[in-house]
Amino acid sequence: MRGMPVEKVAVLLVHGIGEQKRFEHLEGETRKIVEAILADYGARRRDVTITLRTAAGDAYRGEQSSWVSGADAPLHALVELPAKIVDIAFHEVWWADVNEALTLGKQVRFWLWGLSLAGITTYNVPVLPGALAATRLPDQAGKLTCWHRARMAFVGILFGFSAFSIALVNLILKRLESSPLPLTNVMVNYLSAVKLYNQTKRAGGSPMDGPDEPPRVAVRRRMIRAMIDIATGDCDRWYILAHSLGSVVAWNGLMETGEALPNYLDEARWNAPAMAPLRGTTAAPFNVTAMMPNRPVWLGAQEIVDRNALFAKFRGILTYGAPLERFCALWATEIPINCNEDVFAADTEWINVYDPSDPVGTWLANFNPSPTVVPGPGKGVLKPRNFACRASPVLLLSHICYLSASRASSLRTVNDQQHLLVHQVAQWLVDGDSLAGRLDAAPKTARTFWMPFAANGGPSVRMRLRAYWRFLQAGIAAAILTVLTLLSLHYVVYPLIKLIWDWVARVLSS
Amino acid sequence: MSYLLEALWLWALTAGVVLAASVIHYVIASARLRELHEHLEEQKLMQQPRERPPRPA
Repeated sequence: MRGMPVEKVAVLLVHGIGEQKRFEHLEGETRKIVEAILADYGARRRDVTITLRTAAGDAYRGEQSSWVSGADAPLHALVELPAKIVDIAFHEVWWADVNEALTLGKQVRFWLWGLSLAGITTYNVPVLPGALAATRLPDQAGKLTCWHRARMAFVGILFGFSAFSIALVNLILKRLESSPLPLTNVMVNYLSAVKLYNQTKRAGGSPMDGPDEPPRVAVRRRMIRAMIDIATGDCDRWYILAHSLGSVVAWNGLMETGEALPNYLDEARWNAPAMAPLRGTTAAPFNVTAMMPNRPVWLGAQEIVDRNALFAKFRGILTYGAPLERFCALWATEIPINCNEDVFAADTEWINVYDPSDPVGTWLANFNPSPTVVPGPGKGVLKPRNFACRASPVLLLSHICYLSASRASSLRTVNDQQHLLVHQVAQWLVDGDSLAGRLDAAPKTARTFWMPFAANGGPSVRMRLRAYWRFLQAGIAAAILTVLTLLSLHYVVYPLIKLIWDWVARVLSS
Repeated sequence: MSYLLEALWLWALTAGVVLAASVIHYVIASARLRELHEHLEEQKLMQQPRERPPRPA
């Protein structure tokens, strides 16, 4: 490329809960990163080139051109530096279509699940043969206190209020042929992705590449195939950016055992010449009769994916708004840690960013590597580095504003735009240095995006106050929902009951 | 005032529903887990090859 060396970088974006259409999350998040790259490296217009590759075939009478998918990245950002050109390829793990279709049955099951979640039981014994030896659970797995259950019950009550107020109002609006408020459907579809990840079956059956497997296996399959596509490509380094529930998907991909990894692939991928460095065998056959996912017939009892080779060029993962600690308490067996921990390069980073006002994302304390693991030469382990930030002061908005640079849309009042997460990520991807080093060096005061730690390295007073602010906002939301429910009862439910009662009385009397 | 009392009544009622649903959830899930545990102890689960139809020669 114009006689300059080109460094190829791949980025894998994993979306969380939601109703994202294909490429929607990729476009939304990449737009923010690309705008930061343009701001940081595009002093001259020609310094940064953004390319979009559309697919060879489009849908007949489709409204838009499709983008390339599979092993190819649709979006590239080429940044010209003094000594080289950095070609950043953005890939997406898209799994929103695995979610169940919105039906009445799904709504009923969802409300029952939401109302009764406080009564969840925890069971932390892996059932698959070999899982006990190959994986371990996070620290404090399944530790659910009465306080945790009380908080879940509080959320359950809010669920109940929304079910009996907004849902009912929507029902009436539908009957009146008016547009229903989308809030309930959106909430059901968003949060049901969490439920789906814990289901053993999907209504109507799991996707056809694993019809007898839990739907989460289909989600993991998307993740692992994307990882394999990148690792077998020609990139020099690659990264994962995982938001919300996507961090659980990404974690599953990173921690899947070498024995099970081939099971996620199709025959063509497994036999591809580029896959050769990743193919490995074990000294002795292992039990392939009971694996998750099922062992394909084209694989024997010794074939594995060499995780050392898979992660040879992997340089880091960024989790933001990650509910991994929530899963650790509620569904710990779904986020096991692979005991073969030192398969990563020594400079591989795990950065976890969270806003204390975010009810989903948290500080990670239970995913540290085993203290007994001594990495081999040039090898390292994944250890989360936590950084608290001020994504947005508004409940729930804080969960979706981590990469946002807009003050208006995030209602953020910080005064250091140049240190926002999105700029740090853009520079991390372009320069390839340490993101933790960048975040350590970023200013942390009362008015900055990044929050200061306490002297002992733990959560500071400001972080605790921001978490209390979250609880206060939850209380305000509860009060608003209570008022809505009361209004709904007075102006919708009671008159409706009276109407039905009068009609029944009239019918009976006549 | 009546609205406040009604709100309190609403909260108490919904909390009761949530508590009852949670207890039912706990009882059913515990029973299922106990069943699974017994099943595993007997080594009936996961140790047997899944039955497949015989392949054509």
